[in-house]
Amino acid sequence: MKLPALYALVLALAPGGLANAYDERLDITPLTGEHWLVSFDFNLSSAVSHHHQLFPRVLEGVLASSNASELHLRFGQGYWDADNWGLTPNNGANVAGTGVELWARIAADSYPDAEASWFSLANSLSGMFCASLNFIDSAHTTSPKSVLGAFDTNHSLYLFHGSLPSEPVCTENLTPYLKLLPCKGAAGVSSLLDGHHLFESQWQSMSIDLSVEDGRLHLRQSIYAVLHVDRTLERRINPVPEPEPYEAVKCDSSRDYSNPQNGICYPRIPGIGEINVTLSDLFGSPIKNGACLSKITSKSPQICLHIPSDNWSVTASDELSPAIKSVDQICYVIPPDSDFDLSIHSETRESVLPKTPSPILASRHLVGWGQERGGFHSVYKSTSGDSPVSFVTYEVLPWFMRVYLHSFTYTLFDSAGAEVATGSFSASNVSSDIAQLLYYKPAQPRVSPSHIEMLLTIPAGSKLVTMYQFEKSLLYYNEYPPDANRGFDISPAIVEVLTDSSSPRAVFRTTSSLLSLPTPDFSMPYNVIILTSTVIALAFGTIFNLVTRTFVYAEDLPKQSLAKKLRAKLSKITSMFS
Amino acid sequence: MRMLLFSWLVFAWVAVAATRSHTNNWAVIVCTSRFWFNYRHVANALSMYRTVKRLGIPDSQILLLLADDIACNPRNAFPGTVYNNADRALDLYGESVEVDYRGYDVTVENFIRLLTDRFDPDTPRSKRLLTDDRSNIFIYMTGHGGNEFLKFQDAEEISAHDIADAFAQMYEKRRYNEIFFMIDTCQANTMYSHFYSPNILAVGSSELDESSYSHHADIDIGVAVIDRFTYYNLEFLENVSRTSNLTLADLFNSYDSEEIASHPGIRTDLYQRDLSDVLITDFFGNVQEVEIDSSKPRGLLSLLNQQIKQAK
Amino acid sequence: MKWFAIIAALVGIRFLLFLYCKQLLAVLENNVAISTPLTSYQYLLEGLFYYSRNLEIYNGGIYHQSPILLYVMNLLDATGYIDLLSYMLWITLDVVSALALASMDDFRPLTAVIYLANPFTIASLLARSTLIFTSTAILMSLATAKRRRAVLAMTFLAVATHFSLYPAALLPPVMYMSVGSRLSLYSFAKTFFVFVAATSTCMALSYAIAGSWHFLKFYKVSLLFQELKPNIGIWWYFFVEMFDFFMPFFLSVFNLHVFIYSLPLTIRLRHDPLFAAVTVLGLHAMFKPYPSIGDISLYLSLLPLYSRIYTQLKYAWVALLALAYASILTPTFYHLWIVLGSGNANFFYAITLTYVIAMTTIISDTLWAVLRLQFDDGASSKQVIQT
Repeated sequence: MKLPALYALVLALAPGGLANAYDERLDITPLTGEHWLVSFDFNLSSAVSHHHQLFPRVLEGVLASSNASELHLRFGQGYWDADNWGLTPNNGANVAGTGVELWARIAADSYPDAEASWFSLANSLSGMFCASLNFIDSAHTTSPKSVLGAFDTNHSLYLFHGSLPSEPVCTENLTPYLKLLPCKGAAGVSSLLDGHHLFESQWQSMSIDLSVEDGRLHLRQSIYAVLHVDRTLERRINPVPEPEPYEAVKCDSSRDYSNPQNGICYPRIPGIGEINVTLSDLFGSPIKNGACLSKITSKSPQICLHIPSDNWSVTASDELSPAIKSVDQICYVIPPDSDFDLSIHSETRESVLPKTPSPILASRHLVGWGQERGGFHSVYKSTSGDSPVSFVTYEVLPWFMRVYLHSFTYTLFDSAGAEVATGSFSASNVSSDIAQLLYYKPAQPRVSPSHIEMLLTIPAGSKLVTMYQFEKSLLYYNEYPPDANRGFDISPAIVEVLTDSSSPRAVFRTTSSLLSLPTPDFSMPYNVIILTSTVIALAFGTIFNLVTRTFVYAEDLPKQSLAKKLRAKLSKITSMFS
Repeated sequence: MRMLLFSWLVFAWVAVAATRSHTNNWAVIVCTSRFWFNYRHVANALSMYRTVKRLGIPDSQILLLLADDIACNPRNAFPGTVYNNADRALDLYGESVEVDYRGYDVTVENFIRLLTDRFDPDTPRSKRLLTDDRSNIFIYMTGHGGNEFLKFQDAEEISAHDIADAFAQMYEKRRYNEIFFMIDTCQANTMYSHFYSPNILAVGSSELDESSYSHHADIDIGVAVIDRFTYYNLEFLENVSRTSNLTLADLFNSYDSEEIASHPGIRTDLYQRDLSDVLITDFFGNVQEVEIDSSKPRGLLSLLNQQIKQAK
Repeated sequence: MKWFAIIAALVGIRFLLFLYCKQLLAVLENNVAISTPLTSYQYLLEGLFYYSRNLEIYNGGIYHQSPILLYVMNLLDATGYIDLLSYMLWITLDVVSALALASMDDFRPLTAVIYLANPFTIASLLARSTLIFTSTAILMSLATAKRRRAVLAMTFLAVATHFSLYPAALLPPVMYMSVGSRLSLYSFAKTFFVFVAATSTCMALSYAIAGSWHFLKFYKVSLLFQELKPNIGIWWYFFVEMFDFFMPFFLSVFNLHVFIYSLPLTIRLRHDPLFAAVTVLGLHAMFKPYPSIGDISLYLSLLPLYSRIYTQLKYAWVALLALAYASILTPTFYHLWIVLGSGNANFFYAITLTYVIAMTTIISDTLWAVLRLQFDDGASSKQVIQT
């Protein structure tokens, strides 16, 4: 009897404790009547020294073998509508752009060593997460200078960033992701995560942030998804996406002509009116609990709904009462032993909490026509009414986009839409107070991408439109992917809004772009070689003959019959051998 | 004297009974087609993947190569799923799937490197075929093919000679005990016509100048969901469990070229065992046995016990 | 007097087009037949952007020309009127080229007029292709070599070689021309020494401007064919469609092919080394990695120096028509491929082959005519064949 007590005493006294610190939570935030944001956050800190009971050993091994002190991995798909949904969760610190993105800080003595470790890191992660991260080579790697935490530099640490916007994200990426969690996705909040619902969402982002601090490893995993609630509910009834039968369509009664009895039904705008939904409806199952979760953490997981509690009512399974209930959120502590479900009801689902607007709304898209040249056109709109906003943009363009940075121009529009200022990065003005080139590393064909970082400042309520041109390259035959006519994906630009204080910067990413390049005819290799060689031989042969032969008058040549000529030639040949 | 005679008899029996057999199973499942209209090839490959997983081969010993992402394809009306039947009863993608090579990574070069284990030093273990001379390997390939070639992703081809040479390298390096090669493409039987290494059993779905056909389509998905040859194989394999005694001869006897709409071929001349002695689970299932290093002198009785266990 | 008026009018047209046809200038600047990665004005502006901001110019990026050009353009940019001043610089060089041409032909004005009126020359000028620096230097070199001014000829040739690598193939004919009758090893060595000294000066100047030896990378772009951009030459499609494995082999073969003609032609045409230089220029217009119509116009403008051979030409009309056909279809098929997407690369490729055939016809025809005349000065009208 005394032994367990003694053991507990030892545990309590041991410095830092042998216990790992783990907590998880789920936040559900209706963004509009039909789009709901679900945020899963998992935080795990390992104990000092190597007593990793919960910490995934494989990650620790990956960190150690590549000498990385920090690792960030992102998987994302979909479109975040910043206009209507505001800022991404947690100021965008854990949010992914399109495709797969990886950045890490690597300790090494020299740049080539650091780069070699970086490539081996990307390769190990590609095996771990079933993603083709092995495609991150030097043509996809950059070292950011002013974003992604680059500013707190320690000179023996090299920051590398690689992005693969064309990578699909699917269940094979979710499976190993869940295996990193202590309960492997079988219990707790993570039991709601299922590939079928997650990859059906409007927008999803899976992130892993790993860092080392004071000898402790910190792992933060976040999954965010924006679910279209109506579609999710419809799928539970009928998995085949079909329009509703006429009888089930709800008519908009605010329009006087819309009366089903008259045979006229104006369908009601979705996202308005009544809603009744449970967690099982949204995710396919309630939160499962079991011994696993209670064994590993004393902090019970929390589930919070961010809704105006006046218009919404929430009931938990087993009539559990909320741990927190305030005017803008209702939180429950999930009991450790049984399954947990929530029933959410509202008569006016469109009443949602006001969203934090993003300080700027940024969009970037390709302009131009034809496959010789194009341009990148970006629009930045400030949403703040009173103070100017400064932000840094980070763009990585593949080497086959030959950028003309001298063609960069910007135009500033005030809140009324009138043009206020224009300018460029011309040679004469080194910097202006609106657009400043922080860093530019031109692309080396097939070796490294173009890396552009700019500092832009917009006054309150204004809109800045920037544009620069580029030329599209032709590639070698084997550099085209198998579906060459689809085009090439360009990674999203990262925008970080600067803040005066030490508060974290708001980070967001624009959409990725699809660039179509000129293609040769892929069926032609032999034909081209043959035709070109023929033409060269024609030229060479003609000139060779002209230069090496002597002129004679035709009539001076002895006239010979064909037979005699042939006999003469034959004797010449035989005399060569005798 | 009697002891000596007894021990000689035992040795003789052991020599006869100790046929080489496998101690572990691996599977290499390749779908070489890209694009949405080749849904059925991905479904073929995933069906085989599910079968070998069900019969016991762990993910760490399966190499799954899918040339395109079908489950999360924007055209997929059922996100996150791949079905091989219009009744949509079984989702092949499911909750847990491990795809080792996907998308542009599925190339002829990577496939041959995988087989011959000539890898880049950075290649992670999950992407390597770490077999030894006691491994039985099930290799399944599906896609578009022709006379002695198989198309990879509409951009390159692998020829029957390439695969035959890769297998020869594997034999030289003692990387397999037996290989069961199954291929479902048009004119598939031509793909195994050039094999020349021992202990390879090959099955193809159609003869030279014959196409292999799809079985049926799903109206809601919009494309064909399974090929005939694979469909009838699966029909048989549904009845196989981990402890089943069904043999490959049973499987091959179940083939009906009328139903399959092509003539499957079986190549057994390089394969030593009689097909009615080969259990389905010898290739589709998993055996995990430990072979004790016989370099140290062992007692006769323990050696005898070990050999009896392996012969079972 | 009449000729002077015509020449003034041609120069005037250039000014007018600059002032009033800015759209045309933009279109021509981007045309692949006129600007190549080694001669594009847009690329020059981008290089200027790096230069003015002290960015690394030759490590990546798209500027692949000499640092001396950057320095000159930077001086023009400092005034703020780079557009106008650069155009005037180009026109001046054009006029200098015309004068150099005329001086080779005893100042016959027709030669200068043919050069200035050639649509290829005008298009090249409007696009501000930097090939003009090389062309002018070559013409000056040929003109001074004809007058046996060895030092000047070698200096101009060194400048031309510095700007683009290929005028080095003109070394045998120009050396032979400038040495003239004093055929001795000593005189050859002297001229070669002048060439080397001039080249070193250019290199030293470039080093001073660029700040390091990295600028030598722009020669690598030509030799190793590192910029894969469609042009009227035959290299690009060949290298696009070729397998990786053969790259080093074909790079060496194609590069060798460019330089291999000059010595044999000089030896064969030692009685008229100027024509050897002209023929080599014609061959370069076909076989350079990045040819443009500026190269073709240079060759065609040198042919009027040999008006005496016109009676001996057999295929003049065929060749010129083929050239005209190719010139009209080049922008059409390029547009069809790149902008409309309704043609494919093969159309444009076929036109590049047509160019080569047309040029081969002209070169071989003129070469035959010159050799024929060398044989008996055209005195007899008896049929002459080669054996």
